[in-house]
Amino acid sequence: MNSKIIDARGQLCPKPIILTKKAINDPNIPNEFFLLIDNETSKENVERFLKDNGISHQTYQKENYFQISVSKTGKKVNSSSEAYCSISTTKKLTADHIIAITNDKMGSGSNDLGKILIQGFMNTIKEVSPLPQKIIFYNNGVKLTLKDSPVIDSLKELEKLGVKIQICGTCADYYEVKDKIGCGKISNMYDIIDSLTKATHIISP
Amino acid sequence: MMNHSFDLLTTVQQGGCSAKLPAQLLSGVLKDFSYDSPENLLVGLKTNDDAAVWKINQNTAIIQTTDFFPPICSDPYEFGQIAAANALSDVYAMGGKAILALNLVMFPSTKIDISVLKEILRGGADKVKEAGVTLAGGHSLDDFPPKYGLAVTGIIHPKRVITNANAKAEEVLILTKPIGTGTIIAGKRINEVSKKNYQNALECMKILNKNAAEIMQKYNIRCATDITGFSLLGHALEMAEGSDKTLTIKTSKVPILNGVDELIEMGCIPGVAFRNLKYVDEKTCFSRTLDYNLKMIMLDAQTSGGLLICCQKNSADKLIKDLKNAGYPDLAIIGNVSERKEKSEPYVIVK
Repeated sequence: MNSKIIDARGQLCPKPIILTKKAINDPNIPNEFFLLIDNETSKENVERFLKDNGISHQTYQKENYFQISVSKTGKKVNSSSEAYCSISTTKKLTADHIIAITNDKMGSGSNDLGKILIQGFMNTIKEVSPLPQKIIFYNNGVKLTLKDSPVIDSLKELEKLGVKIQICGTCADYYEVKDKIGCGKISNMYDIIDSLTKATHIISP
Repeated sequence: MMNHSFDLLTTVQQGGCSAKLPAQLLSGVLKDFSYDSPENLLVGLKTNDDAAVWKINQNTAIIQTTDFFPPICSDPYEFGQIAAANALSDVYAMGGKAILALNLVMFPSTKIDISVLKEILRGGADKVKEAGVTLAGGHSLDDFPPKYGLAVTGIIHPKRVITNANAKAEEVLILTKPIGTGTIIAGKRINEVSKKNYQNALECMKILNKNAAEIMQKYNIRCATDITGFSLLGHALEMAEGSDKTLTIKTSKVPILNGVDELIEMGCIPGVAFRNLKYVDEKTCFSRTLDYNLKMIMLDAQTSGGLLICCQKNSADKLIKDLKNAGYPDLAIIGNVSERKEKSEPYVIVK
């Protein structure tokens, strides 16, 4: 049956995930399909499964169940035997270059456009390999590291991946935002110059 | 041997060590308590270790532990064996010698034929006997679903206690049993695992960690833990946090039970693996090239799992040879320990 709806209600883990994976890999199931789940834990697990496999989805709370709309977007959940072999045990996650962010906008021109661009830039760093060794924030750039910054989640994720975040302390003091910083380490001019000197190259968007 | 038609797995949704309370929930509750820690308490609540150790005098400390859980397999005799091996394991993980055990039994007085209980207890008693431990009593409750396990007392020299908080940089990590028991049992519930792979997993869970404990003492090992409900990565994290070191796990080296790959590939990922993921996520760095399936296998809750042993590089070869000869054929070096230079560094790196 070429159904657009996968009903996993009444099913406990791991059944909902098995059904989800089957639907994703089944060419007869349309690219956009709906998954119905009626328990919180299974919903969370399926969401995490989709997220970790890079499959876009959205969850809607219905009266007494959840509807997750899944979009295959061309990506298949498939792990070939090669994927196992390709795990590099020595590969460094980060390279030795540094990204220096001096403003909370990217490029010159429209302020609004500049803000959109810098957000896109920060959110995309993690997709490009190799990762930078460090990201240094100074002047207006420190505003991107605040707890309510639109890119704070991306910065935290980068930190987890081993990218160091250095924030200019003088700048944070000047803008009076030191207590609002949501990631990284406060740094001084000596450390910043030291980092910039030792970097293989510096990217400043 | 009696022929039982009753399938114990039908009584539970989550069996064995996967029935544990979520680690996050538990640590959230425990953090608000302050417990005494008298001088004689060598190992207590501070380090999330496997058992408590109390020094009696200069030469002897007692190890006290308990563990019990709902059915992990269909056959009651085998369930008894596995539950007993699992409970004894906490003493062995500390490097101790188990001496005395008490049964902990919960079983319904109606619903299930009482002969099933007899088989569970027979399995437990046989395993305890195999370990050279004396079974000296117990406690029972009328309850459904059934649960079984032991309270165990062991002894150890106070200076030879092996904890999970003593990992040293440059040591290698040895795992004595393959992982994947949680996935195999989940697969058994949905009839997707072969008889052979299921039985192989059960045999693995029945293996006592006793010989490994004796060999660890021979080689002066000072840091180890047994792998149970919090998964390889969860227990590795506890070890890393307790020792303030970074543990690097090379997933390609981790021994995995036959049949686990196929089950995970079809999406048979036990819910508890996601719970373990939540627990370790913040403090663990997963390599970006790490295969998703392999990642989830590392988070699979184990029942009566093997020991994770920290061993100096230069004695690893000999230790491994001894362990292999002592009944742990699948063991492997799965990673190493390094210093954590900065607070922002992850406790566990998974490659």
